[in-house]
Amino acid sequence: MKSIILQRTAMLILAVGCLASSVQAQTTLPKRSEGYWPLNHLAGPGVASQWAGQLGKACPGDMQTIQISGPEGVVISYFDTAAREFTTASGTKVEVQVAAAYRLKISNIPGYPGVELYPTIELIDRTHPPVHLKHEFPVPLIIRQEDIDAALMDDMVTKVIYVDQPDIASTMPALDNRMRSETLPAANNLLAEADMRGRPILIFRMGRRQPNPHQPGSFLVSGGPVHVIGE
Amino acid sequence: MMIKLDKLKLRRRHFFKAACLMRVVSLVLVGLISSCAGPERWSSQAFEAPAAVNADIESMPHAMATEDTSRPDEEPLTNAIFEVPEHVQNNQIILNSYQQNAASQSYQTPVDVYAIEPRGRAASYPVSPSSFSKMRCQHGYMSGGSCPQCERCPNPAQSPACYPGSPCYGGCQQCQSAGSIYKDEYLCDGGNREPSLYRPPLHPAGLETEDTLVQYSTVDGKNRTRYSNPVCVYAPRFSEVRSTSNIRQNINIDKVAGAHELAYGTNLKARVEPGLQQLDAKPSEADVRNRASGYEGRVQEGSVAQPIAVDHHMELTVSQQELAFVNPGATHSDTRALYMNSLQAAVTWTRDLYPQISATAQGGNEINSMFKAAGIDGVELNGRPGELIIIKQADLTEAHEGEVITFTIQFRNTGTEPVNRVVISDNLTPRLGYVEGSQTIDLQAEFRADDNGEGSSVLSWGLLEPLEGGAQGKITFKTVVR
Repeated sequence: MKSIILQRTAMLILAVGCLASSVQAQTTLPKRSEGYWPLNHLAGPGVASQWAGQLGKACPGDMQTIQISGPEGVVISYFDTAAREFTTASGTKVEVQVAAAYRLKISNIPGYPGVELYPTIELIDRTHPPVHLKHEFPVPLIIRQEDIDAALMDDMVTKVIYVDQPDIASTMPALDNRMRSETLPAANNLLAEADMRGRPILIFRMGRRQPNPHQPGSFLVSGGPVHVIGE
Repeated sequence: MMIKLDKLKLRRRHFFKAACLMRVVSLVLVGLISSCAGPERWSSQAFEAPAAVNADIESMPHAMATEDTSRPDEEPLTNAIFEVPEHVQNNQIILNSYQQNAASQSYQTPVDVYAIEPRGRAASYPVSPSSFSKMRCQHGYMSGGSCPQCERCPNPAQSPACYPGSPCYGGCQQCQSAGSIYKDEYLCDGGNREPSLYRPPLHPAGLETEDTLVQYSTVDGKNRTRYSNPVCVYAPRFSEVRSTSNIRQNINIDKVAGAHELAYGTNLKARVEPGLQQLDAKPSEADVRNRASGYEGRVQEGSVAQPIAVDHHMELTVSQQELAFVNPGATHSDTRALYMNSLQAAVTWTRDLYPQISATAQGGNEINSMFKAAGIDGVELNGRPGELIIIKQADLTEAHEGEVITFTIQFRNTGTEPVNRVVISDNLTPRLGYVEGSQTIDLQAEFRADDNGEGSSVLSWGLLEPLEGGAQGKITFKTVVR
């Protein structure tokens, strides 16, 4: 008798659990697509990369070669964990850690003498090239003049670089023969949009925010090792 | 003895109680798990290859065939003549860059080839930890057997699963991405990307991008299809999605109410000027269209009102016709006829009727006939029926955007009998653009390059003559990497 009562109680709990799960599923389903992205590009720098590390997107110590280009003459500096500054020219290949966020400094901007911008990048995934091609196919990031202009007009410029999925890749020619770029409304979740087109790798955020000279360390993000590879 | 029985009963009661509790706990756990499980995410990252990917691909036959083209097992292909590489015979994906460096870099061993799922979505699908462990743990370095965290390879030369300087991923669940081969970084062509459920013989329906196949007919009337091996070149392409946002743009695009909640102030209201957006929206085209629609005018003044007018009804209810129809003369004649019928019926029913039932038996005749063929026309096979194999290769191992890749397709009839209606088709992936006029073939064939609807081309070569047993052909063409 007791066992029957216990069984019925368990069935009741099970039914309530299933009902709760269905309610939860209804409330969490997104409206725009079938996928559910708990993060978006508006999350703070380092959040997505931290999630990527915890979800196994990269292993501790994984490094990824990237190549940041800007207008001619621009200087790009990287800050590692110890706030050391690595100054490079535009187009220099640099190895940075996956599942980490870095603070950059862009200086010597053409047309804006003395102006510095401090964007962030974070690696949320990596490429898997053969060993001898480790530095041959870096993840490119192109900072165009319009990005700098927008940032200096108090706009927040956000980019998500992704690996194209070959079977649905666009056949349109690349913008200025360098990289395909698609500008989307600010309300769109760029991580979701990039995921629909391929595999998101890198998030770039650039605004006009300047470091506080009284709290120099507070402006840095998690950072990581920086290996300058060269041109 | 009674004491022992009582003890036994007591133990059984405890056992049943324990069993019931176990069932209750298990049911509650199932309920909690089901309640905690959210909706499954469908995305490239959520894809995980089945645990038996390796075994599945290994077990694939030499060339995948449609249902009517099963190759008899007792007739192995004569690959030695054609000098087919061993990995191609096993239908492995050719990772040219891997092959090139297999000798120097132990990490890029041909074992990695098996980790690619040739079909399905071309995004990332990490190999599951279980299958990954099967592949790698035997080579990798596991600390303590339980893999609490990834370790550096102590000696890369002794652990071929790791490349020098990289973390060792053997069995570590947190490092599952390291054991994956991401097909989205490779540009593949050849093979059968999406096996279709039904494909009519010699019909190009179901030809997906990346597919390369040969279709032919044997002398015994069978239509067959053979797929080539896939060829993958490392050529990742990166793109970006971009957006700019600030307070003004957010308010303009999003709802004004949301901007007020975020702003907590009055200054933003003045900057936002929400009335502008609303003013723009109200005099929209939709209102004007609705009011000026043509339907109202048509209903009120159009042809609908006119046909319902008096014209038709007046004609139908015209008095002359009604009067003529109820002509009394006609009515009388009908009435009389009815009376006559009634009388006839009454007479019939007053008689005694002796119904007679007659039954007839109709026997069926069964005819058995046998047709004997006067003669049989056929083809006597003196040797092995025609059997084609098709191999595809690329001249580059890695490629950047804009580079040209030359593909070579070789096919050979490994049987002794000829094959007819040979058509070689290659549906290029969107990132490969055919270079016009670059194709060559060493046999008489009709070449076509049609749009494949995916932004690229489907190339086809139809041989004008049968391919004799042992004969072979070679096709080359160039594509530009987009």
